[in-house]
Amino acid sequence: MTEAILLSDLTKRFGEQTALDRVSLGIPAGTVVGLLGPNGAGKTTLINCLTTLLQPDGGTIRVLGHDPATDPSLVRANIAVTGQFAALDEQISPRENLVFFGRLLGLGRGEAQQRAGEMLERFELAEAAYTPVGYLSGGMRRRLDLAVSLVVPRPVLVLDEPTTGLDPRSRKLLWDMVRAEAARGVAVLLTTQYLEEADQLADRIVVIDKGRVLADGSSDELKLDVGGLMCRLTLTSAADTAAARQALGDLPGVTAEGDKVAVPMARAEDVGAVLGRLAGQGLPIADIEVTKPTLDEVFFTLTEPMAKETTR
Amino acid sequence: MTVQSPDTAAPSLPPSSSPAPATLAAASVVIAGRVLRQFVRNRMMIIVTIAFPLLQLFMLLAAFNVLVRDTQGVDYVRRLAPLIVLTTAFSSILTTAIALWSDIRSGVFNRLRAMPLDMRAYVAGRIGGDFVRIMGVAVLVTLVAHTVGFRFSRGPLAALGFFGIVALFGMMCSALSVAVALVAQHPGIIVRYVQMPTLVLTLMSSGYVPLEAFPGWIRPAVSVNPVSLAADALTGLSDRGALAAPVLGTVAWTVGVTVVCTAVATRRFALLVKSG
Repeated sequence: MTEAILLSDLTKRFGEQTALDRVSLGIPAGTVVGLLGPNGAGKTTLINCLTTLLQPDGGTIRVLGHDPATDPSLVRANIAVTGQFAALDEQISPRENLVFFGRLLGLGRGEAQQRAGEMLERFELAEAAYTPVGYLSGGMRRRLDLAVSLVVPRPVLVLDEPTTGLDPRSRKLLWDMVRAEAARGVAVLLTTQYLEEADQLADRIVVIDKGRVLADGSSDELKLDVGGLMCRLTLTSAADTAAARQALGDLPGVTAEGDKVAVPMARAEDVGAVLGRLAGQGLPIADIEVTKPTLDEVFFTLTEPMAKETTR
Repeated sequence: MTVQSPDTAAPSLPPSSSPAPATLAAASVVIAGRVLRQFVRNRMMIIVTIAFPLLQLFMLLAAFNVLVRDTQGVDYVRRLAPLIVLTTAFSSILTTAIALWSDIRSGVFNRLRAMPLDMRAYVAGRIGGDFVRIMGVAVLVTLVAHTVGFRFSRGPLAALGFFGIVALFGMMCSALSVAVALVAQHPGIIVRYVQMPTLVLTLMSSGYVPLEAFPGWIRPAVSVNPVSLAADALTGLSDRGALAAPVLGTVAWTVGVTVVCTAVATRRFALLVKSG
């Protein structure tokens, strides 16, 4: 079993705050792993440690067996990174950006030009090839950012929130590119705040919050793990929602929105207990439905006890 | 809970076909190329470092040419053109430092840090590109000055020396802009600490007017001003005047400033590369 990326007990502290708390994670070649977590969960810190931009305080990192602490340049040579914010030279054109980074990665002049042309086609940027990057739309910049990362193919691809703020067409293009890279055997680690993106793209999802791994598995596994089922109730009046939440207050992962309340359940027969509690408070119910949870609900169930929020 | 695909034909790692990363020299050249490309595209830089000094040359000539000829008995362009050539380098310290400051704080720098690249190439490329720009602009401005009467009247070797002095002065400016950009926490600080001193040093130099035109109490300051020394050296090499003192003075300033700036910049840069 080849793990292209292997993190064990990775720990990073910023002063008093622990940004990463003994995170362990393995990513085999050809696999897309989605790192899911709210803002401040430690996603970007993890990526910065992995890509040698930050030095961890504990634990080990291996990228194709290389240790960033002792062999940073071998690690860098094998990882293509697209950071959270576009890392492009705004004053020069997309083609010039591609040639610039390609040449620094060791391509010859002609080779770099040729690769730049290919990437512009693949990422649908050919029309804007000669426009200074400063004039491009957000979607185009993001596409170019990924194109620059892939101008020289490398066995590991790391993406930090690649589709934040993108239009659907650009997002789809990026997803297709990530899938194509994985199909070539590239190990992909991507962070995202979009559950749909993780659901669609990732072979495995790792949920982290406050620097700790809360869950690690496929989308289906996580859904089963959190509570096999989800009881969705529609109240007759949205005014009852608060009372309903209170009646169900000690059950884990309860979420409410408008006149709808969702309760994760381990077994189908638990629905009786749920209904009993609401009946006990005299709360009328308009509709009831028992289904598998969505990934959103999994995420809130996992992260909510830590966030200590009362609504949503 | 980690699922491994049961498919035994799971793709293996793609062959590491990536080329060897660019060598320090090659990477420096690529980065210097980017600096020059940015300069050519940046209208503000062109205005500040070429158009404005040329405008100054034409305006000052129009205003004072006759006056200087009648009172001093010299051709004003012979004294003014060297100063204007220096101004192109001197006034670019501010814009270069701000451009460098933003570049280091931009995503581009982090992308470079995450690449298998000797980061010394970044500094070498920035300084090298900047140097080529300074020399290119100096040659261009000298040619324009030639059309309004500036001449090299001391032979080809002295003309070569002229550009040697410009190169020394340019190196000093480059070193200053790099050090300032690395130390400053905010671009506003760069403006505050660079704009006024460069303006004062230019005006309080023996470039526009000879040393004797300044009141006696300020003459010592004017005569050790690096702009005075370099302008006198350039005038000496192209027209007439003392050579040894201004040339040695320019060398001293360049070596001193470059050594101090390099020491400061090296430490700051190592810190930035290590921790962003």
